[in-house]
Amino acid sequence: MNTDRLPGARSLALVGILFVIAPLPVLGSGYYIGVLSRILLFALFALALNIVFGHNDQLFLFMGGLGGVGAYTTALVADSFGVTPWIGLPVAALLCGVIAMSVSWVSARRRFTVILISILTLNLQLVFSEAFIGARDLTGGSTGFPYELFSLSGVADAVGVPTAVVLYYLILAFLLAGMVLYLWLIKSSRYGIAFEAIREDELAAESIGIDVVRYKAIAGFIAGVLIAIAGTLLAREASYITPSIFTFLAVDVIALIVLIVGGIRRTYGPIVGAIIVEVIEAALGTYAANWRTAIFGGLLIILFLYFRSGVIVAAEDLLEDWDISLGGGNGGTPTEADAES
Amino acid sequence: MLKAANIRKKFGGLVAIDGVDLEIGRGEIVALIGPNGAGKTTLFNTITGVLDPEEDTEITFNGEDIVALDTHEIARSGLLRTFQIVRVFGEMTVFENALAGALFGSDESISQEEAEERAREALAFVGLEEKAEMEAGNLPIAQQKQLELARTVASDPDLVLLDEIASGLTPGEISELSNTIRRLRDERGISVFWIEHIMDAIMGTADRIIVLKSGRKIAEGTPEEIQNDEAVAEAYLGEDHS
Amino acid sequence: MVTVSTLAALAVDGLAFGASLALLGVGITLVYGLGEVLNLAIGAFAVIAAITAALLVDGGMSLPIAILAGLAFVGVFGLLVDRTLLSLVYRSEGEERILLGIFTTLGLTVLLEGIMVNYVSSRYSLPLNISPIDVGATVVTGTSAVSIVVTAVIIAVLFLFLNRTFLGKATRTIFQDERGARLVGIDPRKLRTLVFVLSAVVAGLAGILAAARSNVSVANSFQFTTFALIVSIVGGIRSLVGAVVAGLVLGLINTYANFFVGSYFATIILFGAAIVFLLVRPEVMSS
Repeated sequence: MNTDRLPGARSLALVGILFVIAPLPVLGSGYYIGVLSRILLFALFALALNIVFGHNDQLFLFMGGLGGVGAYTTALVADSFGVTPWIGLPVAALLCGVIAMSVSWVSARRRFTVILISILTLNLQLVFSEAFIGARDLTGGSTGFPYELFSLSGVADAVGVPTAVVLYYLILAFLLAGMVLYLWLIKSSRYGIAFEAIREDELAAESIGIDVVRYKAIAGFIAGVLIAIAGTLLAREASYITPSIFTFLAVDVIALIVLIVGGIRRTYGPIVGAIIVEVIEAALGTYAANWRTAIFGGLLIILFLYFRSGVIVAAEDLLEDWDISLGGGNGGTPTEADAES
Repeated sequence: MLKAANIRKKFGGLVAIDGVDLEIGRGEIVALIGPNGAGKTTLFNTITGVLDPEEDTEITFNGEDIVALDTHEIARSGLLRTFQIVRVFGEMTVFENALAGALFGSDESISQEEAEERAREALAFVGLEEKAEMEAGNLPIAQQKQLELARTVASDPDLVLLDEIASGLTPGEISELSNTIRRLRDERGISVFWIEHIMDAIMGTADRIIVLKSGRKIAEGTPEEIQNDEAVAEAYLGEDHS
Repeated sequence: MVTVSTLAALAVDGLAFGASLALLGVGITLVYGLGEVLNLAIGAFAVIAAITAALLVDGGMSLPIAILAGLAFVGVFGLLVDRTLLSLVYRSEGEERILLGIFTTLGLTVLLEGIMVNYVSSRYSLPLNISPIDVGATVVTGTSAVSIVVTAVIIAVLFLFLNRTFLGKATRTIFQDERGARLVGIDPRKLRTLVFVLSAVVAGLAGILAAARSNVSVANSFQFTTFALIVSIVGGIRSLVGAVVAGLVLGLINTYANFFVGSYFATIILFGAAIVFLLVRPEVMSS
């Protein structure tokens, strides 16, 4: 058991520093800054999915829709009340948190299986997508509206860097905050134990006094908040908000691939997965942009059929296998593992 | 401590539990026996809130009405259970299993340190302290059953319901387990309500035996009385004639 | 003021749309009932059949032959998918299989969409060129009438197959009890293949009818899938009759809503209906 306040704080600090210095060599290139920002954004979506699906067995397939609700709400609150989007964002996060919490609460109360939750949320996703296009007065319909909130250009001018760089660090700050929350939640609080118990065996969890409905609702709320923030920043990254940013294929499918590639329930799974997926995407961008969708579809199939524990885990297993075969028929390996514990 | 009157549970048209009254006192070890399909596990599920009983069922625990409570609330009031097919959290360590019991099983908001202390104590109680860092799923079944028991002990319960905890164990393991269950009562003051098929396990341990058949209580008494009860003999002969 | 004849004409259009929905629902229900795979690629099958037929018509083939060829093509494609992808999915069991089925067919639909947009990116239609039919004061579009009749015939044939033929009865046996089917000497895997091909053809017909009424593009794939999903949620994922009824009712509701409150809201009503049914009767989706 870890006794320090935040287990893994040191490696997170290291990862944070790496991301802080990552843009320095490419400060001038809007393209590379954009790729880096998208890595962070999809890491944030996948982080939310890791909490709610990985650790809580609730497959949310309305991340795009929820992210869109977050993004539109941030802008609309700021616009209609004449306040800064820094007030709009928490309102949006709270709203999405409550929406996601309600979905989790109802699903847990009604004892929905993971499949039912996925179908329910997929339907909600499609409702949101239609509503974004249909509610033209609020959303500007499918043409959308410019999205240049948070007065980042002012900061950029003062520091003397492009606006995209400021946005990158803003996204990084939110992602690192999300990671701190994750480490605390999963690794060092009683929530982590409750989540794990619920994921492994709901009935046994209830029977030792765990309020399953409450913990699932809490996981849903946290995921909703993170998704709202990610959605808002995703629109800000595009500088223009349209319903097409928040479709099932544009957000949910990618976030799912990111999480599975990186490794479900692994602390850095979302970040590793996002790097791999965005690098693939960037590589495709130059050579075969038209094949992007097809390749992600194929990837989804292959991942789920063959690499469900994550590419990294599969690679580690492979290395382990080599170790054993290099060891020359060492039948003692299981005994060693036993002796360790 | 546990008092129930007219427990009834139907599945569609089928009456699974048909008006059972029972009482478990403080410091008692009570066994629940009966042929397969008598409704023993259903009775446990009904008491612990996994299943909702029919309208006029009354169940109180330490004077509190628990019929309307959820499973986790009943657990927190000090009524814990184990399962017929062992349900430890296989991907957690042995220690984390016990810790989960300590953290969530009691109503007071227990501090992390205190919970860890209780978990260690509970593991020592069943003799699993050496295995604390092992993954629970890797334990042999007999030890998983002890861990399940330790998980309930860690939450400092008043009453534990054990569902066929001795099945699948060797005679040596059974006598060790019976011993642990007696210590549960003697050292911890925990009452036990115990479904068991293996008579050797309960005969020397239980203070009282309740016999269930087809959802009804057909006999109740000391082990000696039950052994000599004709209705009980008939109930078993009727089923296990082979 | 909305006249009665307008309402009646809307009803016919609604039933025609509902006929496509019913076919999609039947397609998804057949496969789920038999193999617990929720085929999220069913919409892509519908689009493949419609576009194939449209391309063949463009190439000079006569309409009926082109339609049959489109259906045959999607049937063969279904066979291919069944023998490759689904064989891998069927290796797992229970909830594991359902989840795997959802993800692989989702991946398949994304893959197919991604491939198709590169080759067939415009909108395709299959005009039947049937003149409107006057029924009293109401004018019914010929295409709608044909849609309803064709669907009714196909569904009747399907039910006859399931109720009257040995293969059909075997299929229904597996719907209820896989082990029982094995005992009477039926290989469930072969029946699953047959039924999957059948569902691909039925979905293909839904796509062709949709192309006959207006037009179809690759982007419709996922939309058709979601329609199928909604129908199976409302009708019950294991009930063929439920799928037909739900398809027709939702088609009517959608068409009227479309006329009175607009298309976006009409679509939202469809999804809303599915959500309400999920919340009120979640057991219809459980296995």
